[in-house]
Amino acid sequence: MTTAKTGTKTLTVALAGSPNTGKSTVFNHLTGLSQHVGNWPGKTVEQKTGTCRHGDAILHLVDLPGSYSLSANSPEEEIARDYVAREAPDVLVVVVDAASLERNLYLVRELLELSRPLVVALNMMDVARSEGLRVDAKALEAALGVPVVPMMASRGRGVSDLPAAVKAVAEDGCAVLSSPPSLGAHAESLVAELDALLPADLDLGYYPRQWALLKLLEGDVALASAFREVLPEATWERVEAFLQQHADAVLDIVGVRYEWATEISDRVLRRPERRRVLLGEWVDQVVTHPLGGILTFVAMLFGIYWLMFTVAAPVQGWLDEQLVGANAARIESALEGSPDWLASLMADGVLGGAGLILTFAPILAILFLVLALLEDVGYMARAALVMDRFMQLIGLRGRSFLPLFIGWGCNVPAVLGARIVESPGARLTTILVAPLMPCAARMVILALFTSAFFSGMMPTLVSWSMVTINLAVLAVVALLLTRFVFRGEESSFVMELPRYHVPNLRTVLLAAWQRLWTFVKLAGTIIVVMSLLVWALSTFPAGEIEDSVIGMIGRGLEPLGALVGLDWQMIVGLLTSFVAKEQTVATLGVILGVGGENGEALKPMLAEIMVPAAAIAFLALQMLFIPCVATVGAIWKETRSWRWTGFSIGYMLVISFSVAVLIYQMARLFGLGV
Amino acid sequence: MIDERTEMYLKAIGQMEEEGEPATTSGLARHLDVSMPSVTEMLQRLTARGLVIHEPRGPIHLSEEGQRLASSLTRRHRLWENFLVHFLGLPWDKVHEEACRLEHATSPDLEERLASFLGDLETCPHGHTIPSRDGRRKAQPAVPLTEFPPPGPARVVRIRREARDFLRRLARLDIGPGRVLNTEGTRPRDGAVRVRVEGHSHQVAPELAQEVMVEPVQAPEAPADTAVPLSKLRSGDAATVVGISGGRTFRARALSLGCTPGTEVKVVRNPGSGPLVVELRGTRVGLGRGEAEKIRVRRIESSS
Repeated sequence: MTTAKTGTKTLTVALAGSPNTGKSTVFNHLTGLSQHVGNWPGKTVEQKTGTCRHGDAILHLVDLPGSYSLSANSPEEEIARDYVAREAPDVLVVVVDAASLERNLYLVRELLELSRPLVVALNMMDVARSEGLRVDAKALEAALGVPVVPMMASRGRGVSDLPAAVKAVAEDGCAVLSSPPSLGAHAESLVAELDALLPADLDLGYYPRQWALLKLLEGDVALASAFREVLPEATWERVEAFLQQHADAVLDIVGVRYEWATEISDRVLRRPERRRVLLGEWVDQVVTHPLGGILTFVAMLFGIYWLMFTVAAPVQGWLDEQLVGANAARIESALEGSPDWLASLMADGVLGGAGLILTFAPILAILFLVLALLEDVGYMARAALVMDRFMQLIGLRGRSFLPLFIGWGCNVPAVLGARIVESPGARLTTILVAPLMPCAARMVILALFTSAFFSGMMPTLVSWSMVTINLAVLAVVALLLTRFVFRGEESSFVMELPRYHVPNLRTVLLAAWQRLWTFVKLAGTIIVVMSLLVWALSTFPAGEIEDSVIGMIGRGLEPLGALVGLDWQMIVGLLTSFVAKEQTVATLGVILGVGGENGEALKPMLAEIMVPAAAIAFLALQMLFIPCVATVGAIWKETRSWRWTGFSIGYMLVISFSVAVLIYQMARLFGLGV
Repeated sequence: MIDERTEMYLKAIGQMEEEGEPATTSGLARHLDVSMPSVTEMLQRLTARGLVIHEPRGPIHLSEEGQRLASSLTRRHRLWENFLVHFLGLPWDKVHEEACRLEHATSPDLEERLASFLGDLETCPHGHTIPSRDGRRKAQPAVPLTEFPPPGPARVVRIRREARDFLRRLARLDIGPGRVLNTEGTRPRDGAVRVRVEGHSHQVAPELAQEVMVEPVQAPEAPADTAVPLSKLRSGDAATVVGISGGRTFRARALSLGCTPGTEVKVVRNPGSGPLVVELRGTRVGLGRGEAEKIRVRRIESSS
């Protein structure tokens, strides 16, 4: 496309590649801070776009979700596949890991079969070299017939050559192969037979016909349902019967492609005479060891907690005091003379809510940083591997572990992250139990309450018990769901264990920042609005909290609260946690009249209105209580079902209250009720 | 003189003996589509005439004379069928009924003329051996398709039932004597046999399949299958992938990671329980135990 005025050209460039090829690093390097993070239309999978200038051309880059092939085995792969096949970007860039050339060439081959302008970004040349592998980029270029740009994206080398190659390809189209490589007589005759079964004028939308038929033959479920929709029933039945007869054709087709990949990689790759034992292999000896792996994992968790409490908590306290507290005082003095309710609105409602997000940010920042780091290093897949057998005990597989693990930080990305679980039942189970993961917000409350009521080792002990209760409930619920609701479903664990990488700081920081910012935006708006609402509910009609609307609701529920030793203030605090778990602190601050901004000031007040037994019961209730608004929204978005969303809220409500009653009564027996 | 009805009885008993099923009163009644009492009555007459040896409630056997007559009749029937198919161009599903009428009107002289005219044809169009003049038949070992152990190639030897509608159903599936069927197993739901005929797959209904008699085709040399599940290998073992079974998603994922038949796979860690770590095309892959059981491999003996 050329705009007449400026003479600049805009090229749409899609960035494809398998997971763990450094695709994000390449993308970050090209787009810098111009990138925009959104969602794929109609999907919850993250879509990153950005621009990059080269001479008179503007490259509009789209980062496709990582995929191993063009067969849709996960929602991510389906998005990448559909984008490549339908949207016809001007140029396709495929990022290839030079250190696992053979496997990466599989995706290259599939893209070549589409006959679209293609550029190969041969990344991780440094990793290949460190393993003694020599990849001849020129020979690869000759063998593939498309431009190959060697690079070391993590060191920033070679990436800047990419735009020129992309532009050159877009300009003369030299990279389109006149005829894609053959799949062999057998597969071709099967495609022809399949072709004959279908009406000649069949409208497949954007999919090229021959390609779609091939994918159908490979057993692609998404395409099969697309065909089923457009075909008359009788025709579809014939097609389905044909596909069933040739269910093994996929072995041949994939086999032919891989033979091609092997041949090319043999031609362009020189292996060292003696295979080096790599550092990563030594690390794997420990990390994938059944016992060593668990110990590593427990150590990681401990490290995350330690960072959260020793680094994030002081920062949080400082922010609380210096920013929120000081400003609240300033606002109050500035608004002197104006009606009381206005000063209260500004200081308690607005600043209280906004301040909460702010003070909450350090904990999330640490968590997201650590998660991004572990992912970039390559540890996450190992964690999934080690946890697979334990996940199987609760009816899930290793893949479900990753979203649940993310749930430590925040349940929202956990629910959204459940998409990497391939089988629908296991995915739904993961989504439904994810809110039981004690998220960082709940950990804040946990920390506040335990330190308000206990001293010495007790805060840690109580915190650990609470987390254990949550995990136990999670296990039971998951087991019940997979045993009785989603019985007999295929589940499998096949996962690449990527090479360990020296993490790329830029990639890690950017990933952590993007997640944090998305969260702050999402939670921020809701929390500020709800802070105002809670303020209003607790101010009107009388101006006194005790006689306000929310006070009345809380009093109404006091008989229930009595079972767990809670009075109306605590019930109101709990109810408002539906907005966001951490809202409880703000609400209690407002109700107890110490201001939502100051957790420290809240501690003595709490100790006054509750006995320790009630505090523990309250914590259990809080930890297991219905998911926050944002999580509920995410659950609905993912399940597209009010029934499952309702189920999620309902079962957590029942479980949380039952457990709290049990704990309160038991704690009183043990003498914590005084 | 022997009447047509007697001839039909003799032929039926002879053919049941040919198929190795003991001739019984009820079997005969079914075969000839007549009532049990009329079978009993006829058997008494045949026994009296010395054509059949039969004790009440015992098996029915042809006497030497009965055997000769039955064999001659069968011979005439099958010769006519061949004549109708090869020289008059009638379809093979139609000729049985025609031959049933012609066989009774055929004199021994005409029978011999027909035999020498047709030359050395050994079987009828449905695959049954034509008895020689002295009544000897070549034994043709074969089993019903329903009992043939899949998978493997099976040659159709003969079709036991020759009713027209029945043969027509087979003709539609392109199944006839001499055809090689690649058997692929039985559908558990209804017992239909899945076969591949000339590259096309068919489901053969059980009532059809049990009348199709097949023999194994001698494969040049069946390779000894020493494949074991990947999960049986120990850490450090190397093997070649032979095949993958299991669900569609698992297979697609494993294939896209390069686990295609013929690929070398190295077991990095197999702790004996829980997931395995394998190396595949230069990449480490984590594999659940259940999944490793679905990948069949052949061990590569290490040289070092």
